[in-house]
Amino acid sequence: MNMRQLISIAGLAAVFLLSGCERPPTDTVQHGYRGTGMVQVYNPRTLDLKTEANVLPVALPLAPGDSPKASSLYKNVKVLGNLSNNEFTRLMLSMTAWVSPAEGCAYCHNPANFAEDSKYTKVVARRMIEMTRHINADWKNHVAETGVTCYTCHRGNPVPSNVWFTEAEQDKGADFIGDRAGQNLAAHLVGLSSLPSDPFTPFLLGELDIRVNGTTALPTGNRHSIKQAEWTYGLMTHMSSALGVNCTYCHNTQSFSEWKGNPPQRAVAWHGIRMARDLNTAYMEPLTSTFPEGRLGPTGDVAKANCATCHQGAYKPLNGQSMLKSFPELAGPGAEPVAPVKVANK
Amino acid sequence: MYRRARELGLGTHIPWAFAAAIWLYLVLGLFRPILMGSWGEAVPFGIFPHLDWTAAFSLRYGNLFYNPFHALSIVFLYGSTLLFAMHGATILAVGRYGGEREIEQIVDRGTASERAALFWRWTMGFNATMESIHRWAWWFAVLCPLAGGIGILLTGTVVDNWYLWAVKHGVAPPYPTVFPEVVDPATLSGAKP
Repeated sequence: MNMRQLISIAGLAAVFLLSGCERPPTDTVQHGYRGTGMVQVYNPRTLDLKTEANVLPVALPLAPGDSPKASSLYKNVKVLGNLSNNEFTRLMLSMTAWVSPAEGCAYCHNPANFAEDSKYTKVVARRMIEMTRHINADWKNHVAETGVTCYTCHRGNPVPSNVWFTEAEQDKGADFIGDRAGQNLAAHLVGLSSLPSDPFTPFLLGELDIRVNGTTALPTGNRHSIKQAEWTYGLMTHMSSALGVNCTYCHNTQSFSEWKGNPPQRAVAWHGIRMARDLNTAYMEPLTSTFPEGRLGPTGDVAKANCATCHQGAYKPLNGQSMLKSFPELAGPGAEPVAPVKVANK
Repeated sequence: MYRRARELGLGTHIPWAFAAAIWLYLVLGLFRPILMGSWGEAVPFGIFPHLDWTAAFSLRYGNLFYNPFHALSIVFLYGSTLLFAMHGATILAVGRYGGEREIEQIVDRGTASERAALFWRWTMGFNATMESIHRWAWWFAVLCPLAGGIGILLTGTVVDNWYLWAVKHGVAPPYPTVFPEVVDPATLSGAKP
């Protein structure tokens, strides 16, 4: 092999090895005490893309003047009956633009009879309005006054682009390696690592322990294993990529479990985990039988929410811009869901 | 390996060095899992899996950087590579004076040995000899898995959280707080764990 061949092979190998990397330069911003590595790394090119992706849609103007309540004009208005007709129409048009811009009103409504509950999408949408109100009213420790609207997750898609299903049980095969325990699949959800690729079922649906660290220096009965730590690590990796932030956005890596000296964002994220769990169990799971089979996951479960569903790569969904201010009717009340989950004539 | 070395009339340096590596391997895959009572504590096979395991090990046991044996092991690991590079460079550099004949130079020091020694004495104030550099390197290499194995073996069995252990013994430095105080929400009343 001559020198030229050697150089070209080395060059190709270098290109191959670097192909997974982001192009420099990146910006680093210190936000903790110096020398502790409390630094956020930003890629200005990624930030530009995110800025473009998080432009708010223009809110429709509200027709001036009083108008009668929606419940007095339309039949079968179960959740939005208290809205004035002007507000009601504006919200319906906005929802169409947010959720089914291509499909239009007929995505949820039977054009011949708008009041009818024959389409599952309408039944789901009604429950989702309740969910939005519940988030805005009862989960202020996560969404604050910024709040959420349908657009926060949907962004013009009938099904939000970031949803998750419980993974089907892996084929164990006859090899002695056996159960992969949900690992080693290089899943995008956990940043292409070998970590468990469905950390959501145990943590965002179930309530398994996320905290694996001992609270004492010497062993005093903490039986959490390294394997459990990997499940937690998988969830945290998802949070990191869903928010487009480093570990140090929430944690002081001197000790991941210690709360003292941690950024306040960590407490907000803590509530976010509980919020996702609440939404999945109280709002999504009861809708399982409402959805047609094609919309369900490999184990017949309903699509569920994780951090990426709203955040979509931004530290705050829509980079922290509030759409709720333009749609105060979505701010509450946050009571238990009352809308039916059954599709009519089904 | 030990018997082969003995029968050839060699010293037993090579078998002991292998034993050091085997010690770390057995600690990771056998001794520690048995002490912890779970095979799930052992290292998985695979390039990414074992890397993720390493990170998870540190996360689970409260930051391995506060484990002094881990620190020692890193010193010997990086020290080994540094010594190896220094030694290789030195021998190549004095090759023009016959410096690659290291064994002869040990018993019959020539100008290669003298120049190499002078170079290091002038640049860092200390020099090894043609013999002692090999002893330095051997000890660095052997102590890396030896110290590392001790650190792994103590983790989970004797110490559960190295960060808290380091706080208890004044090893972990306290840093000024720069964030507003954050309370663990799980400790607040009415919060779900």
